[in-house]
Amino acid sequence: MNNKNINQKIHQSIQQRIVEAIQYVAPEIELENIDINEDIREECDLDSIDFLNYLIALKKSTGVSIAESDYSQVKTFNNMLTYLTEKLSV
Amino acid sequence: MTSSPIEKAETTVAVLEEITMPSLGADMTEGTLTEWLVKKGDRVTNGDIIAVLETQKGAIDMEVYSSGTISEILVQPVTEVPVGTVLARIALAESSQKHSVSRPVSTPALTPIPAVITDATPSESTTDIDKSIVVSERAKETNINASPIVRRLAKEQQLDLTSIKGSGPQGAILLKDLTALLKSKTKTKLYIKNDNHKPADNTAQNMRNAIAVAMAKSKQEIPHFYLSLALDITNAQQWLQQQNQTRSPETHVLLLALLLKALAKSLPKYPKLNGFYQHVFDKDSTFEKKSALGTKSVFEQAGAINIGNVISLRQGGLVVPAIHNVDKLSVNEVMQSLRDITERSRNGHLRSSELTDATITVTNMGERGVDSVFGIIYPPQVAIIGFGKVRKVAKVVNDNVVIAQELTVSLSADHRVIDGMLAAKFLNYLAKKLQKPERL
Repeated sequence: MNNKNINQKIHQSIQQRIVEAIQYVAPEIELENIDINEDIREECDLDSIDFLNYLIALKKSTGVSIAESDYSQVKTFNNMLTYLTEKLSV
Repeated sequence: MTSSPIEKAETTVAVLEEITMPSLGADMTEGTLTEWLVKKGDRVTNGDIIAVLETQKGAIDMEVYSSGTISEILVQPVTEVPVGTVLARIALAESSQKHSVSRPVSTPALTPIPAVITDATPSESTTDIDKSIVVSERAKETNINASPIVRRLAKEQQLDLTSIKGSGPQGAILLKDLTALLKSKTKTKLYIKNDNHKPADNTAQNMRNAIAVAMAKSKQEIPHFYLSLALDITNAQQWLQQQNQTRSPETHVLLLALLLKALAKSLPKYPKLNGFYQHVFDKDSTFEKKSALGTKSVFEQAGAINIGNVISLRQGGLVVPAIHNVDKLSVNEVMQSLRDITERSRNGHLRSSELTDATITVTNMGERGVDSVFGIIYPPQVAIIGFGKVRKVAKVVNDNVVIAQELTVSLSADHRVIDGMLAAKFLNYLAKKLQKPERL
């Protein structure tokens, strides 16, 4: 498997975990129904407690702990994907 | 020979108490018993989860409010019954035979109020969060003839086994009996999905109707009055920011936790806001007297501070689970509890006591972007607090204009119990408590 393929695999796996974390707090949400470049809280109608539970679910599945100072970097689905990909490839 | 059961019953003072389908709020009229977690003869302790219910508010873990031995199981899963239906009987352990009652009497809005409030209405529970013991062994006792795997599958797929005719020996339900049903079920599901209807439509409509009746009743019967105050939360916000800067999401504290704690710390000074205005029956009076006195209501101060939190459900409607003894929890613990009840409101397993024990309610609409909210009181409570959104304002402090953060707190109060002056003092006291967040 070449590097490109591996990267793609990692990418897919992280994407899957984000979707699962969203569904943990908002079970009816499907990826194709949300705009991945808009604020995830608005897209999925999450209140601040749901949002925390979403971050906690992600921490459990990826090990990445996101503190408040980084919230601005994980606003959208795509932001989160980039953020986690960076953290996990360090 | 040992004594017969009858002789035994005569010699031991076994007080039987009824375990009924609880009213998990004024807007609940019936519930479905989906599973017993105990069987006849099991010993249970106050606070144990003994059954799982399916209600308009989702799947609920039903707790027992006394200690003793399950003496009789009267309703088998899966059955829908009205609130108040006797589900089982419990032979009380001596220590739990009498309790001082200071909790809401369940009065479902849509069903006639039972003439006699039996001992089986959930009574005083020293609800201890740490004591959440789940009774381990699942009851095998039921009239339905089906193997555990069939039961499990039926439960997962939400099939009602009582409505299935088994093709096995003595009418036993076999796996293949479920297969046909599952196929048609899958089809229905897909159809529903394509048709853009939610399967929960009926439940949502039921909940809508129930909320309509309960809230209309509250507005008609309770003379509400309303006050509001702008809370300066600059200090609180700064404190939170410091706390949260580096905290992981599990320990992150939201403003609401601080607000709840401040509220809980203010209530002991204003106990009239924390309790129930309801019919009170004299324990020793006769049945006739009870009925005659039925119209007399009094305010009873609650023994604990259990704050109900309005949580809107994604499918519509709402639940109001309580956090118990908020005054005794740290801000961090309040936050954990908030996350916990929110998660369980979404995914099931709220406990029955959480839906019946609230002594005052909070609605936090600021999260949804409004400046203020004046709630409708949830009977038999006498007050509901509303929090609006945080806004930045220019404030004059010592002749200087500074940027401050504010939010509007509102109070809807029952004038039969609370006067305006008291309510005003209370809001100001709450405002003061929030100025020193580190001491909450």
